Amino acid sequence: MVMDTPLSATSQGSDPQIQAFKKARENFLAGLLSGMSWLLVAFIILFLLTITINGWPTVSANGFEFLYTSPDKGLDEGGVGPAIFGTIALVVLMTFFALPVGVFTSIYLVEYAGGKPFSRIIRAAVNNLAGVPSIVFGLFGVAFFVLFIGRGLDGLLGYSLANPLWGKPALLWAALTMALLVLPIVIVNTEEALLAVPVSLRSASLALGATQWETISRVVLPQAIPGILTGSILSISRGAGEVAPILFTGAAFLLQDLPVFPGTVIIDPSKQFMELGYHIFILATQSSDVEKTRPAQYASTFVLLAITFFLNFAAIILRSQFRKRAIR
Amino acid sequence: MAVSSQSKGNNALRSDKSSAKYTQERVIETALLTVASLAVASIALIFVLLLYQGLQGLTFFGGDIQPNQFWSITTEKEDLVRNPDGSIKTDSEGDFVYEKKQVISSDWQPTSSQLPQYSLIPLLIGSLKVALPSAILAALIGVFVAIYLSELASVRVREVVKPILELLAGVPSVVLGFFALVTIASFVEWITHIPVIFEFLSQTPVLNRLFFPACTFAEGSDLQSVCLSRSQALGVTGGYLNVMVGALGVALVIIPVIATIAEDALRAVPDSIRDASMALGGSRWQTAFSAVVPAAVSGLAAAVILGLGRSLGETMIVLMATGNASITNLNLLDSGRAITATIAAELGESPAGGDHYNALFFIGGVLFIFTFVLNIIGEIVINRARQKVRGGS
Repeated sequence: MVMDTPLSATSQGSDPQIQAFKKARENFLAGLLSGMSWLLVAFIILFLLTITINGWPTVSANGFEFLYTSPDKGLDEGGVGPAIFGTIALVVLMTFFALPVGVFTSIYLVEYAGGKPFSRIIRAAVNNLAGVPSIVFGLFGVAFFVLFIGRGLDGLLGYSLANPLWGKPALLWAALTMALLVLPIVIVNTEEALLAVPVSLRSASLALGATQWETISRVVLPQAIPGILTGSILSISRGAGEVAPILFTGAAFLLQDLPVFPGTVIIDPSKQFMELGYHIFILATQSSDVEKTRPAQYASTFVLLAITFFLNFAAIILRSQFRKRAIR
Repeated sequence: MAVSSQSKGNNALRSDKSSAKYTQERVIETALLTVASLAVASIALIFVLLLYQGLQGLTFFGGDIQPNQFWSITTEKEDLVRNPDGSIKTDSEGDFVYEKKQVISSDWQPTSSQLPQYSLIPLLIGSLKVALPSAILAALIGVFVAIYLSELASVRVREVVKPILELLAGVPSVVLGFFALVTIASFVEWITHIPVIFEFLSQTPVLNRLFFPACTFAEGSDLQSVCLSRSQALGVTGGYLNVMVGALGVALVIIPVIATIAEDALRAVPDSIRDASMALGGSRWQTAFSAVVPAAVSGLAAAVILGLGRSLGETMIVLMATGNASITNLNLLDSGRAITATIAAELGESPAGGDHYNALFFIGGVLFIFTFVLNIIGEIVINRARQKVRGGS
């Protein structure tokens, strides 16, 4: 912007008028940039306040019954208990799939692959997986998990098309779809954690006669656990908030039953489930009286925001802890 | 990148290749490689599946969709044939005679019982109508905030602003969709009703095409007078939920994306460049704008490209806030139907394996290719920029 004028002109002050003009221009730019940044900050705070002020009264009414009661009268009344349970079930199952795959992929990339061409292909794939639109994961989940694998399983197990066990939307398929979506988050964070473990530790272990896998499993991984945990928490936060991938792979409008085996608290992965984000979407766009359920919409949104913020906050704290440790 | 010290470790083992430990190590490495290949396999599988399922709907592969239906701007319609005198022509048995005509139209109407239409044009326009304004807005704000945070803000300010920006990055898109639906929509309606802003948007040549197309007619015509009454003009052009509401919501998603990548690009500029500028007497502002920003410009461009990719793929906000009517126009205050929202809204009610279902996979494939290409370009630009900055230091 000021490229065409020699920089020295300002400091030498050849002409006080020009200098004053430049000063004014700088002040204007300063005001513009800091103003814009602070405006954004103010806006974000305002946004959070809007959700909190409108959501908190409903959430906290009658001893927080909103958090554990079921929706009632269609969706018009009641709480989000099943939706919270479904969200937890989803992220637990998702982590069960995404964490091992993500951690092992990172171990391969950092500890084994080195500069091999295949590692570049894996990295490119991970980067691109992170950029795939979430609705495309939803399409993939329907076609691959629900229809291809699910119906295939039903064929093997002898379930009919009319009465499928696996060939329909289910918690398992939603969790697998979501696991694909969060895989890059786990990988990137685990890689960072592994790279932060000093090479000297590996050398020491190898020098003592440990094999490479012994070195990794007993020396490197324990050191990297905070970083792996950060990645898991961030991916859980992402998984809890995404809706598009589960629209057709498992989330349900309104269910009386939790996705568990009857009479137990063990998650039944073949059932459909209610989910917080999906619940917000349904309440805000599909409920019979959108204005009437507005308080419940704000309250559900507040609950989802609180969960994701708590998780993100935990991840940020954890990350700064292990970064400090890595520097030492 | 890798801190592998495998050669040392393996040499000891290689001396006795038959040992159980050696075999165990090889097995583990192969197992890890297999798991690591899952990422590659899944992205390949996603692409192949979209392509396979998407092409199933086409006539070559047994479906009923003519390939040119996807991009044609004319449609074949059956119409009654009329006699020269204007009466409806009938055949010898008294039935009406129909003929097929080419009509100019490009609609996405997959559920039409008579003639399903699968033109991508309204969907592409819908997607771009949301993605471009949001990317432009977010690029402006994101890049400025990045410059401020990286070059000019004090450490204290950074420590306040950065975490708040990270908070925004962590907000689920369905929450922003809800916010767009209840708050941004009223905001857009309110701000377009403010007289000064209305006059500006409706009387400025290019802007009025984007916001109040009814006002683009020649002065003195009837439509011009319609336009002069605000509420009527707003009534004419779209409703409470429109593309602009969605675009503002999507901008909130991609501002942190752009700001983070842009800040990384600015921080990658070596301090020697800043020092050189300062040593020549440049102020912090001059250094930022005439030395650092030009050095980081390709990184900033990459940030915007990646942001655009994200905004094209954003689903929930677009689904909840843009109104979703498939309309082919450039009016930002009108409803629009993006590709993502179309898939999200229609996949549930299209029977698996049918033309409609396959067409949704086809547009999913189109979306995948768009975002894939944008991501690749972004990555390449970022890598080049990194090399340039490192090489130049």
